[in-house]
Amino acid sequence: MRAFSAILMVAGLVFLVACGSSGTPSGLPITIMLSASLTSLNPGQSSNITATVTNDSSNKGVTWTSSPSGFGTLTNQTATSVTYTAPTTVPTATAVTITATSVASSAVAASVQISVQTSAITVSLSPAAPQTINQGQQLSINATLTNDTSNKGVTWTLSPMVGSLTNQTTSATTYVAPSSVTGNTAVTVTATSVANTAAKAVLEITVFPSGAGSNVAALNVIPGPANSVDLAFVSVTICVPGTNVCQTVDNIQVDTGSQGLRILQSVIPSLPLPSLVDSNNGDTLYNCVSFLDTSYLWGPVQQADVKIAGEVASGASGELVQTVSSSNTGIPTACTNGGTINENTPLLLGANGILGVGLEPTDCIVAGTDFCDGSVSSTAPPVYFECPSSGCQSSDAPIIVPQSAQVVNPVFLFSTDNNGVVIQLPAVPSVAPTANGSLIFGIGTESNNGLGTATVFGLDTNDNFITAYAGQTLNASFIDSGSNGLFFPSTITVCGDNASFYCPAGLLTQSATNAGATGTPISAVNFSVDNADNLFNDNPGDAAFGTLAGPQGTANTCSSSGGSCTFDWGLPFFFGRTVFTAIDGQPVSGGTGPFWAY
Amino acid sequence: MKSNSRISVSPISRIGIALLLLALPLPALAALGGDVASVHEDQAQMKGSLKTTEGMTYTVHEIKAGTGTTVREYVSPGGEVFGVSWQGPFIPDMQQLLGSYFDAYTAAAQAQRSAHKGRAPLNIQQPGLVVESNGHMRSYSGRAYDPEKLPQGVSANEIR
Repeated sequence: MRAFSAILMVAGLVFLVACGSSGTPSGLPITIMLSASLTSLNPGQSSNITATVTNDSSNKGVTWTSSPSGFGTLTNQTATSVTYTAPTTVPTATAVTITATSVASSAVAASVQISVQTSAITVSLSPAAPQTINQGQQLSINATLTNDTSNKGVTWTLSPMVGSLTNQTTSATTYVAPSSVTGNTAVTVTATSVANTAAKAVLEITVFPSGAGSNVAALNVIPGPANSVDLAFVSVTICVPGTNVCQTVDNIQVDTGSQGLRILQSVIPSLPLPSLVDSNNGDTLYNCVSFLDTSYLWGPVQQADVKIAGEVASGASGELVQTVSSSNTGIPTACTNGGTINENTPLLLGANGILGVGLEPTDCIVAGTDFCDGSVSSTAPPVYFECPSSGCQSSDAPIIVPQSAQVVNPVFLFSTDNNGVVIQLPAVPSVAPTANGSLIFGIGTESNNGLGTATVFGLDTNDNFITAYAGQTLNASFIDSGSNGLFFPSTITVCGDNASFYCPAGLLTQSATNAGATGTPISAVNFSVDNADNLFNDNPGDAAFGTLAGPQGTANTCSSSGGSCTFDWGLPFFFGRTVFTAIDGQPVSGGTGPFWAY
Repeated sequence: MKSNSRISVSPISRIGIALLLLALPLPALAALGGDVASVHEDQAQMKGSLKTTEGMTYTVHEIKAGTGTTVREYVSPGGEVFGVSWQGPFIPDMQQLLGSYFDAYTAAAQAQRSAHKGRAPLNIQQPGLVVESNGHMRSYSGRAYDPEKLPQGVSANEIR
């Protein structure tokens, strides 16, 4: 090998001498042929260009230039090849000429033209997440384009042609839902770039068969103050009773698993709500909510006018709320139960308050039994306390209070639409940044809240029904918008780092059967469970997760009775459904609450 | 207080002990990990009625609390409470029920709460303590046990 190389080098030297003297050795003209791997480039893309030089007896090859100069780069240059890379930002489409010039004879050159396309146009819509609106409602939609250098904007299309698109411009339109639809109706609005019809964005809209009315509040599954998942929020206006001294508070979590409005004092610092005071001793009535995880809410019972959508629960007619104290002192041990998380900030609670619109009139009644008024037992449960202005002592015991002093489900006190709530949320098959639906008050009281063909499930004396799942009879099961997942006993793998959720290897399709407490009616439910770790890692900042689930008790511990026999149908159950929660004792056309229906 | 009578002390010391006991918010004895006597402490604390069922390998003491919540305490042949369960409208006093396990319980529960942005059932699965707690307002259920103290031949599934 070494000997061979040496011979070539000597030969090269000989030719070099020859070239220099003759210019075009051998008499034959030098020719250059170019080939490019790509002749049309997107921004940032590269093309490899190869020169085939003939009669280049000195084998000097070519040198490379590009025009317009400075537009893109030439790299990896050799005597016979080069790589051209287009700029990453291309305001206008540009034809680039790559020229190869013979070193041996500068008069000989060849060029190839490469067209560089403009930066790809992208189209995005606001809102971007799937939307729900009621029949007859309108939705404004805006399009934003990038790299649309000619400013041609978009054209709009609707599919299927249900409703219409009005006020169309190249950047906005308004979707007008039909005045009446017979069932939940899905449409898509597509914005297509005029300059490049391959660039488009789609918005999914579900039209509900319910007219916008004073009984409809916008319900939004959004991250909220603590960047949570699967929590649904509304705005609530709270007023000093009988006055216009009011404050509207957003990020109030809607919870069908509890009763009463609980609002953080820190978000209504200047609203002078009157407290409920014991006329015998001047003490203030306090309310306690203990959570399963040792966290709790503590604060005075106060009168308020509570306004949601067009509905009002009047403080004068008995609307009492818990305002969650900002202080961490003066709290009886019977409330804290040894726990240390007083969830009295938006970050700790994940909300500015909780709107309990569950199955009962107050927070101490189940199936007609009031556990706080002394009718069942003289032993007071740890719910109501009396404190002097200096605050309670840790040793203070709970007290018996009449129903008229208990924190009230505001819906129960509305003058109309007071027999329950309907929750409608769009389907979320996997993950969505947000989900936007409706909290509708009343059941069968307006044109927009009828039961229709929904199946009605009666409940037992603990306000539960029966779910059959994987061979287990889970007879203390419930539907609860306040639980942020589906929670049930299963052999599905629990996440290693967060025992609240399941982490199967991949998406699992599951089924269960719900039944009323008497065993009928029955209804099959199909659902999916995905790996929570992957869901959270892959979708940071997103709020709506349709396949989020976790453990509740241990699989197969359930017999016909006993603890831990619960399927908690949390918020993912509500996606794509219309779910009715009827209040205990309130008449509903054809029956009486409490019940769930969907 | 009952156990105090067994201690022979001088009058001055007796006053000291009495004050100390007054300062404690709860009886020193408590259920999980405690002895049979702790069951009766729980019964007194919960102002409840007690029903006892003797089994082959353990005894179940069922306390129906005045507030409507039923608590079951599982006692081994050696007289130790190895598991508890509850069901009813109110979460029982966990400090009373879990006794010496209470600190481990609160630490684990609060860690789980901090990790979870939202509401979920409680699921503590540690080598020396399992706590499962769930339900909705006015309908709660759950159980707690020490897997290392289950009597031979007893499955954790029996605690419910």
